[in-house]
Amino acid sequence: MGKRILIVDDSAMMRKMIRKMLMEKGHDIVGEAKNGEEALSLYQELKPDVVTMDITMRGMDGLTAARVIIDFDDHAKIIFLSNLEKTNYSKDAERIGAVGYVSKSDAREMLALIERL
Amino acid sequence: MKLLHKKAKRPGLSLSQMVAIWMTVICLAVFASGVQTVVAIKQLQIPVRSGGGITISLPDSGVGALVNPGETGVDSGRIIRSMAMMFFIICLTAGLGFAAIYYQTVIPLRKIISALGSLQDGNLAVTLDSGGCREMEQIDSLLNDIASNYQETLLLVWSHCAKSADYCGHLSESIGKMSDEDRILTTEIAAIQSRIQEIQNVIGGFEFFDVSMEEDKLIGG
Repeated sequence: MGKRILIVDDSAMMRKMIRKMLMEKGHDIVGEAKNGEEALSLYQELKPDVVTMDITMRGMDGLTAARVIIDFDDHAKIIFLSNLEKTNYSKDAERIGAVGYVSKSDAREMLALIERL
Repeated sequence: MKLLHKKAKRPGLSLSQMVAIWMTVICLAVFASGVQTVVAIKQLQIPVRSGGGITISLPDSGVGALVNPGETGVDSGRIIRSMAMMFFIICLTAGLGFAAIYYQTVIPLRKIISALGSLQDGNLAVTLDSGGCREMEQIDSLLNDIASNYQETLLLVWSHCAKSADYCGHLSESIGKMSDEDRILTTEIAAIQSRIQEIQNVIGGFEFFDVSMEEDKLIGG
């Protein structure tokens, strides 16, 4: 069954790429945000099943936004999707309470991760 | 419980709204000053002699001599003061309007030009917040989005290159364990690795927002 997903990424092209990938698998994209502040606002408003979160963004970064969202909702399911080195940042993601960390160059791994949720 | 976050920045006035307000204020100032001047002129008593048409006779001493302040309570100085006030108000309004438009458009435009120069030099770390009117804010936002698009795309290509180079390395190692004939392939693989390295070098020439390249890794901050 498709999930309701919020995409958070500062690049419109990346959002488009992620949206296309997720929609092909039958997921419903309920919203898109281009920084942490927008993500917080949309999360509260839309209550998505899953959030795909970039890390490096102008304004509030993804790690901070994820921390605030998880503080607000223990059951929030956040998947980090970033170009940054996986070995370094997957530990941060885990510490925050995110469900996973996927490199953008292996973005399709995210689909399997979402299926398991 | 509510998520803590900063309130969204209130959008400023658009350029057309600013010009409309400016023009309205000037028109009101002109109208008010004009009314004041007309009232002053109407209160001024000028002797008129009729005959074959209306003529206004002015004594040699000028307009000031026609006025009897004791009877009318108005002197020619009032007209001059009204006109001077009208001129002052118009100049003040025009000056304030010009200053507002200058600070809302010209200064932000200079910042935008400077940021575009940085982008041209490959500095994608540039974050534009020029201030100014709503149109300028929209330009800021769009330029930041363009920089983000370039950054993410280039970093994605860089990551794919790093992985491809890695695969080539593994392939090269595997071939190294094979027969001498197959080892010819290692030259080809080295050529591919060299091409990949060239692409990474080109991308490495850019400056990125909050991302640095350390060896074969992308590190935040």
